[in-house]
Amino acid sequence: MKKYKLLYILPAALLFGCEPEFEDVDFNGGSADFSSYVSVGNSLTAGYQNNALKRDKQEASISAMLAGQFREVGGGEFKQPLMDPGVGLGSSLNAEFGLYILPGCNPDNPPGPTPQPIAAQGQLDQLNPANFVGSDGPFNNVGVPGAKSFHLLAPGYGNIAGLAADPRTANPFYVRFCNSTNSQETVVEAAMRASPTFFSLWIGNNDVLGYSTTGGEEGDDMITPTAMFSGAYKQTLAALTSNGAEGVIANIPYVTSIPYFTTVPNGTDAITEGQAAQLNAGYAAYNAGLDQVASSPNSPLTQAEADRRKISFEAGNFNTFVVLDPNLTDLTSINPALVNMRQSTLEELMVLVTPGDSLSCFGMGTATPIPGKYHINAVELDKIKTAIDEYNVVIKNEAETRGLAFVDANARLQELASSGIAIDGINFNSDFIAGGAFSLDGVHPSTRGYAIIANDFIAAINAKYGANVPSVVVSSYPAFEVVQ
Amino acid sequence: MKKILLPLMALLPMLSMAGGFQVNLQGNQQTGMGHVGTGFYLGASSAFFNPAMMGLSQNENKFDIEAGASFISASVAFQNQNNGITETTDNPMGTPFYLYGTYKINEDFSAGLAVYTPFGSSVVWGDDWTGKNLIQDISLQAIFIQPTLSYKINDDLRVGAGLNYVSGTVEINRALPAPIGNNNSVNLKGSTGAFGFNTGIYYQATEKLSVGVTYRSQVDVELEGGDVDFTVDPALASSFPDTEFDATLPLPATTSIGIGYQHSEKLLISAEVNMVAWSSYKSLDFDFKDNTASLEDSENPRNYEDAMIFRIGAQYMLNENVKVRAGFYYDQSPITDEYFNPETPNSDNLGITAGLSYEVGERFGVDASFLYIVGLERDSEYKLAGFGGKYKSNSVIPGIGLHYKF
Repeated sequence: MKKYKLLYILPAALLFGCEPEFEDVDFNGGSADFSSYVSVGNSLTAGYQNNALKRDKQEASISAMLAGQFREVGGGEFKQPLMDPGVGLGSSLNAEFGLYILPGCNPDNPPGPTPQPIAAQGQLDQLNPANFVGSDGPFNNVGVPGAKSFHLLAPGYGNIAGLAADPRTANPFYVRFCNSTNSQETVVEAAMRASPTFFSLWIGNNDVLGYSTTGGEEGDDMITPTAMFSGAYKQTLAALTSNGAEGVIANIPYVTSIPYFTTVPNGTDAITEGQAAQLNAGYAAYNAGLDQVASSPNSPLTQAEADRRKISFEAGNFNTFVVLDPNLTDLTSINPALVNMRQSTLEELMVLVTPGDSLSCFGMGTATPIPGKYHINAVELDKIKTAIDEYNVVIKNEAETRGLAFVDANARLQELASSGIAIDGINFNSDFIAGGAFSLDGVHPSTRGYAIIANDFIAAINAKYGANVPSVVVSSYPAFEVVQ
Repeated sequence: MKKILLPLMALLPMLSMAGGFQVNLQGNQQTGMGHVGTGFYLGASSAFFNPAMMGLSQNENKFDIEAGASFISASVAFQNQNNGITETTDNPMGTPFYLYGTYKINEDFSAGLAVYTPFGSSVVWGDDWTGKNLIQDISLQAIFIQPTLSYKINDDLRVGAGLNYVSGTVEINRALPAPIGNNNSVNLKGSTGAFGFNTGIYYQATEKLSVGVTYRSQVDVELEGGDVDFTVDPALASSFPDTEFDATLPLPATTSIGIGYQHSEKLLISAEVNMVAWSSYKSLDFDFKDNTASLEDSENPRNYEDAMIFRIGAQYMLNENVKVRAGFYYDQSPITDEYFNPETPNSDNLGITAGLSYEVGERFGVDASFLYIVGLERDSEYKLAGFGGKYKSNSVIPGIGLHYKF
């Protein structure tokens, strides 16, 4: 009998010995209706990265990623105002950045692979009315690079005539795809024309970002007052939900934790004894002049400010750079040599576009002060953080009162900046280039960075609407390549 | 027998078939009955299963020899629960082998030599699967060579011990997730020799009941000066220079207790427990000879836990020439859900076995076994790398061996 049993067992085991198999994961949209998904926002949702908007990156935008995943659970077509193939257009009419190996000014310490604009891509063609795509609408992605909260509601923001106005009232990225039969159509109206059943809204970054990237007060791009942001945000959501659409909204990351502000150090530890002596001798007159003014009767300068402004360098230590600061008391009318300069505090930040060669080879920050546009001072930092905190309260409240899915993008980027995030064996952090999550402009995420946030959107949607939308595979998107 | 050994060695590597990367296929007779063998004598393979038993041979001509191999077809499947992607290993056939010879010196002493492969692994996930940054493929081999001696204390009590020389080889390929370049990878390869031991006690409790206890020591495979070969984007060449590494891989100690019960002349039944001290495998660390800002020493926590294997098996003598066997075991995975790395994708295993021996004459016999292993489904991740999902596996392992006495 045993023999016969064995004859049974062996073939059965061989049969079941084939590859192990799983049941398919049950993906579904829950209570959400993704049949017409519309993405409303700015450069972050348009697919902007590497300092430009470009077709291949639009096709890998966070909006397109989400639409692709929604399609697995009942989502429909997702139409984007695509650029012509191979064409990049930046917000200052520049070309897309690529990664280049450059010699640098110091042959002993060459810079690593460095972002530079890729040679002419014919990008300005995109501002030729012959290349406008407005007649192809309505579009599902109405992300407009550079748009602030209130721009979404501004009539004429897509009217080409507004590009020439002073101050400019239109945005070239929106002009490109604005309704060809109604140049006054707002971005929100353009979104509604696509009859959204589901929307995403990620707006408000530019309400502080422009101020920050141009060095704060020295620029002409001011922070949007919170009341104005709040009004525009609520009005936008009221419109987007007016037909019963559901959606997901995301808050604003602290812009100062992005590589644009954290890459260039605010000082140097490479000062020799000789250099320190020379620098200190050079600043002796400035330091003495401050004391002299502060001690004179009815002085506009307090001794405390005089002490704060004094400049000294010490060999072997980390010395913060000398910077210009408009918040200091102006003494140039008393003594033209007493310019508004001091040394940076350890907390203050330098922007990514601070000329690296000037710092490393030409004495900027040591022998000469760094222009304020490259430096975010403590007062500016405080204003930026306060504004974002206030915006984020508005956004969180709106998510709760309107019952929308909420993405804490700020928490995610804080995590990226502090501990980093491991996904599929890749360690992401906020380091410029090496961190993998930010694109070559240091402001916008890389495709992989957008994918990380896309999965946060999906997680928020799944939680809110009882759905199981599949995640994107972060590691399936490419890393940087050096331009050959 | 050396002529047989060399071609068999060429058939390595093998896939890990027990907890972690332990491979329990050291005798086709035992494998046929759930791989029990600590508590009763089944021939020259006692040199491995319990060295104390070598003197139990009833062969008047003194020499017993056993040799054999198994042929592992194993497959592991992975399913990411967030995106639904399912991927399966494409492993080469593993061929663990054994070769045992024992010699009865006199009534009290016996000597033996054992060559066997109790640890090994060969997992091939492929160059472009979603876990490629953790592992693309790994091949781990360990060949144990064990001279052994046993001593009869009295009619009921025997002891034995052997010294292990271990020849170990490891090769790992994984993608290198650098921020620049999309085809970066690293190959790590090293081999070394190490020492350990295998000891046992055998006690004949009653005429029918026997008990065995064994302890096989931990062996630390200390790789020194292994080769590190980077394939990276030219922009990263100076950050990732080809260099050498040091690493230590512990092959854990195993303590076994087994009983044999000769129910009748025809029926033998046995039960056994193995305790594998996997908690010694804390971390797989690579100490690189040349470090750069991008290439720091690599610490990869494993934090395995001790694991148990529970086995039962039976042998029935159909007639003078034929014995049939069956068995079952439950083999705990030593890997926790937070440290589950696809490099060693090991679940709790259920093993179902069957076996057959055929005696061709007085001296010579053939042993066949068949083992089917189900690796139970588990949902685990390697948290430090942010990679996880469901895993399950199965394996089909036929084996064939010979025993001979002279």
